[in-house]
Formats: sequence, C-alpha cells, structure tokens
Amino acid sequence: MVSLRGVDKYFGELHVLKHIDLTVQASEVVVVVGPSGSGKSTLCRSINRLESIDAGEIRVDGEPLPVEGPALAALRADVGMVFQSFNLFAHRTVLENVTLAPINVRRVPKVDARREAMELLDRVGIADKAGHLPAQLSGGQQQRAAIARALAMRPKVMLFDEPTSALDPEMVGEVLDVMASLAAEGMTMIVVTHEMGFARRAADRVVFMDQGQIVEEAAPDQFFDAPGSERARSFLASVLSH
Amino acid sequence: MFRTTRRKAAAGAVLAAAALALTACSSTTSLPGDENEADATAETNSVFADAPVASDDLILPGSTMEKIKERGTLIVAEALDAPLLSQQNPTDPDSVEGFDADLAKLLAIYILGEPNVEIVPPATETREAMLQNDTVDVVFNTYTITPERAEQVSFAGPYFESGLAVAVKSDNDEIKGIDDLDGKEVIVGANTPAVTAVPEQVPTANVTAFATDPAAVQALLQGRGEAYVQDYTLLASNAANDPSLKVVGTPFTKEPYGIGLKHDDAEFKSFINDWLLAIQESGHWAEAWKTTLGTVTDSDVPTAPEIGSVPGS
Amino acid sequence: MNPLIDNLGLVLEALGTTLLMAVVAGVGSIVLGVLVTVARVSPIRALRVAAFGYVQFFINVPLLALLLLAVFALPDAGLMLPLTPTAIIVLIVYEAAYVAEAVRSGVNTVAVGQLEASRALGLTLAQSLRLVVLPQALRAVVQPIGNVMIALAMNTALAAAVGVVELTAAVNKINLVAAQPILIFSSAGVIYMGIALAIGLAAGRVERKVAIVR
Repeated sequence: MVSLRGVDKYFGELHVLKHIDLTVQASEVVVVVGPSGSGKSTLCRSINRLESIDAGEIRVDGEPLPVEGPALAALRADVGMVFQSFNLFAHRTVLENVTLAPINVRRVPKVDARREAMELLDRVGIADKAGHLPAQLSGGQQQRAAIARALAMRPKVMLFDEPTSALDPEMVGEVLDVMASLAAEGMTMIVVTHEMGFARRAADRVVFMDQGQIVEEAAPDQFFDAPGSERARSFLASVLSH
Repeated sequence: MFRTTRRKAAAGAVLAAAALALTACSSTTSLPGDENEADATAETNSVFADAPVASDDLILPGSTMEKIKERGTLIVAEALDAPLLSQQNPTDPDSVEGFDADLAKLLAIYILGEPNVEIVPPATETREAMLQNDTVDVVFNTYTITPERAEQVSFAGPYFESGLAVAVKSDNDEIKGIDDLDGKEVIVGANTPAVTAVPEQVPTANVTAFATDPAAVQALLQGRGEAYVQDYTLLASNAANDPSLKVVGTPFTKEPYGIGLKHDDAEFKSFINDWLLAIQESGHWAEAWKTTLGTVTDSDVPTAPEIGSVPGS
Repeated sequence: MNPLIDNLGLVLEALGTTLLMAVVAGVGSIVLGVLVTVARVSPIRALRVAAFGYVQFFINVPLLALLLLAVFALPDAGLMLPLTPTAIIVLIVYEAAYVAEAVRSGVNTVAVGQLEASRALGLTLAQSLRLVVLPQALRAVVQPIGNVMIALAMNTALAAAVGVVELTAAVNKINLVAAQPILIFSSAGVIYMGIALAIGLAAGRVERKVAIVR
C-alpha cells in the first residue's frame, strides 16, 4: 500500500532521513518509534508530501507521489492524516470540520456528507459535540474529531503523527482506543508514537528509527522482549524505566 | 515664463500642481529665505523703488500697525498658485510673484520700511478664520468684497476691480459668452467667485469645480466641459500662453477685490486705505499692475477703483 | 443659523455622493485587497512580485496625485470616464493596497497547521485559501480593515479637488458665500466624525460576532 525506496531528506546540512526503505502492506499497522529527532515525524509527513524528499521514491497504492498540484491533492484525499496538534479548523464547527473535505473535494451532497459525518462522530464518541467549535472541546475530543475528519474521506491509509503527544495523560486512552478499533477493522495505518503500550497491543510491526535511519523492524513481541540492536535496547530502557 | 511646461508635458504640469496643492494644504509655515529674496528684489525692481513709507506718527500706539512693526514682519495670507496674482516662481520657489504679492510687499515697506512678508499659503476656505484668530495680519487673495463676508471680516479697498469671463477651446465657435452656456458643462475654479456666479447667471449650466487653475485648463482642453469661467485677467494670461484656448465675450461680473482685515479694526482699515491712496498717487500701484496683470493685455493701466465704493468695503 | 442647514438640500445630496463613494469603494477595495493578498501568498513567484509591487506603489504615492493622474492623464491616453466613477476607481485601487496589508497580517495569524490540515485532506491551494485560511485571516483583521474603511471615507474628500461634488466640495461652496469657515467646517467635521464613528461601531459589532475562540 505504501512503499519508500532509498528516501533521503535534508534540512539544510542536517541529513534527517538516510536512505529509508519501508513497505507497508494493505491492512497492516506499522508503529514507528524512536527518540526525539530520529526523523520519524518527517518520515510520516513525507508520505503525503507535506515534506518533500531529496532522493528516492515514495509510492502510495502503487502510484508514485506526484508533484504539487491537482494530482497531489487527489492523492492526499486518499491518505488520512492526524496531527499532534489536532489542527481542527478553528472557525468551523466539529460537524463542518468533518464535512468540509467530502463536500468540496469528493463533491458528496451536503445531506449525505452530514449523515456520514454524524455516523463517524458517533463512532468516535463525540456526536453530542457536532455543533461545537473546536475550542469548546477537550484535547482528547478534538483529536477524536480530527480522526473522524480524516476518516470522512474514506482514506486508503491513515497516518498518525504523534497523535497523543499534546494530550493530557487522562485523555490519551480515549484516542488510543479509537485508533485500536480502527486497526482492528483492518485500516492500513502508519503511527508515529511514544505510546509503547499501544505499539505492543495494536501493531503488526514496529519500526525503530534513530538518527534518520531505520535501525530495526520487528513484530512487537520480538521488538519489546528481545530487541536486536544496542540502540533499541537503550531506547527501550529509557522509555520503559519510568 | 510661467507654465511653459504645460504644452510639453500635460501630466507633468498636473503633478506640479498636485505638489503645489499639497504644500498649500499641509503647511502654514513661511517660506524660508523669502524675506532675503524680497530684499534683493526690492533693490533691483522698479515696483519697489522709492515706495511710500508711513511716518512714525501714523503707527498709532497699541495699533495693529505697531504690533507688525515690532514683529518686523507682515504676515499675509496669499496664494502660491495664482498666475500673475500670487504665484511661486517654478524655477525659484523662494520668490512669489504677481499683483497681490507685490502689493503685499508694498504694504510691508509702508509699515516696516522693507518688504518683509511672511506668506501663509492660501487656504482659500479659511481666510475668515485666519483673520479672526490672528494667524495673519492681512489677506491678499483675490478676495471679492461681499456684504456676507463683511459681517465676518473687514475689507480695505477695493484695490482692484476684475470680472469673470468665459474661455473655450480655440476651435469652439458656438459659445460666444456667458449667455451661450445654457445646459452646458461649465468648469470653474473651486473657491472662486465663479462657483456661485455661474449658477446665478445660467441656472441650467452644469458646474464642475477643479482645485487649481492648471487643473481647470487641463479639464477644458480634455473636454470635461465646454467652457471655463474664471477671472478675466487669469483667462487672458492662460490664452496668451496657450493658443488652444481663447477668451470669449467681455467680463460679465464685477469682482471688487479687497484686502481682508480683522473685523472692526477701524484704525488698521483706514491706515491701509491711506496707503492705497499713497501708492496710487506715487505710481507704484500702476507699476505693479504693468509688470504683472498688464503683461498679458494690450489695454492701458486701468483706473484704480474708488476706496469704499462697494457694499461691504 | 448654520449655513449648512440653510443649504440642507445641497448638503444632503453631497453627503449622498460621499457615502456612495465610500460604500462602493469600500466594498471594491476589500474584494481587490483580498485578491492582492491571495497573489502575495501564492506559490507563483511572478504573482507575488506583482502583488508586492502593487502594494508598495499605492502605499507610497499620494492619493491626490493618483486622482489628478486618473482625471487628467488618462484622457490623454484616450480613456475618459465621468469624474465620480473615476474617483471611485482610484479610491478602490488605492485603498486595496491598505486592505491587502491588513489581510496579509491576518494571514500571518493563521497557524501553519490549519493550511497543512486542509492540504492533507486533499483541498487544493485555492480551496485551502478560500475555505480555511482567508475566513480566519479576515476575522482576525476586522478592526484594522474598519480603520482602512474610515480612512477611505475621509479620503473621499480629496475628490473635491477633481470636481466631484461630494460633502467637502459642497461645504466649500457654501462657505464661499457665507464666509463662516470655523462654523461651517466644524459642522462638516462633525458629519465626517459621524461617518467614522458609524464605521468604527459597525466594525466592532462585526468583530464580536465573527471572533474565533481559540
């Protein structure tokens, strides 16, 4: 479903992605972990070209990423994305946030778009907040709304860029639950996160990144119980020790 | 020599007019160097040679004249953009030339012995206010004496009598005077007597007012109106400089120009009237006319109007 | 007796012209100003440069000079419109530069994440600007745009210099006869103050109504 071949990315002098190869199968849930600055967020954002790459090739559903323009917009419509800081449209209600893209990009009739949006909001547990503005919601509710907004486009793959990092601890669970149920339904997902519990519980595969490289790829049990690299061992020791 | 640029570059002249208008709107300061320039001119210019100076006993204690003499400068409201009357010299902005400007300098000589004049540029709209709040001592600004105005300020003079006339494009043979303006588009200068005189004479005329004379001329030549009504002398000078317009008919109003003073300053008024008589007798009035307004007409020096001869004076 | 009241018909008619110019030029300058802002934040370099040049030109050239140029230079180029429409067009293109500056500052208040989120959903850049960025940017600059509109209303007075019979021209004409400038121009000033106050209050109401809670 998603494949990266020899991807390099620089921020000026800084080599943030070093020759990345990664393939994600349909319905697979890949969780990307690693220390801050390891390049995992950049990797995630490069898949729908919010970050351009300097070398290599990225394909989504077999199609190479187009350059900026209508074709790229069409591809992005098929790739859902959830951000660390939610990024709900501040001037629109929760319901309008969810219906905006289906109506304007997919040309779904408004009535249908609203009905489907309400179903999605109900599914993520915030149907009662449909008429509220984002600022009136808690962080966890906002992130669930953002997930509903992405799902409304019926994406082929969902990208999660540290979706719980900006949340108060007591709200992390409600978001992870929604993500876990999505995973269980067979959604193709690439999740960048620090939530090791989620990785162990929901991932088909864990990818460990450090200093712009993929250091290790393994099934969750193997990664957490017997990491193959020294760097992964020391990373896990530091995140699991408290 | 003024406004020879117009034929070369119309837009340039308009921009220059804009610059002048901006200066006029934004500034009440005197022109730096103006006094020195006036001194230099006085020595070489026949208009100011041997000009009358008031004897000390005429400068009454506590009078406006005394106040001016102590200050050493006469503060005058006068235009900077009125050709032949009071116009800043385009090549020498320190020098302001014309009939009104020369009379102001002659009055300064009469009071101070030297032509020390500080000019507060026009603000035609606020002449009465400038006198009432002592911003200026006198107004020399083609200031037509009217009974309404005489309720707000006092007028010495009249010192000159002019009249409004009609100018058209040279190729216009249809309009021969004010009586042919029925239903026509007529251009006037904003804040000139024509603004009210044209509708009085020709109620059906459609009047459009432009801020400056160059703008009004430009508007006439570009066909925004078929006629331009303005002071006869000013039109004559325009026509003399630009063959594409001509003056038709004779003046249809009498505009007695007065020197605006603070209301009810009887001492100052009679002092200035005495001075007017003095420069008429000494020939300085005629000399000032000849070197300014007289340069664009073939007629003889007109007779100065009789002091106090019009309502409001 | 106030000469403006004695000439009420003329004053009202001229006030109508002033308000007409202010409203038409106000709407026009907001539309054009937003378009200029779009050009300024567009990914096309030529458009950005052109929009930047546009704003710089009109912010640095006095309105009176533009009015005189439009009224007297354009006819030489074979383009002659009636005076009031000419003045309105000049006001639109002039004030649009100030509107564009205000809206651009509003665009800068919209978080980058808002644009990223809309692009990630598959909206084109034009849709992102129209549906997400500009609505938020405009809500953030209601008061600054209100101030531009007040300046515009005051600037209509300059049209008197090129023959438009608006409030200032009418008041000048009345004063020419009545010769009571302090009373007359103070009264006219009160009318202009009323216009400014009305625009300011309207801007305040609109701002409270559309303010975004963040």
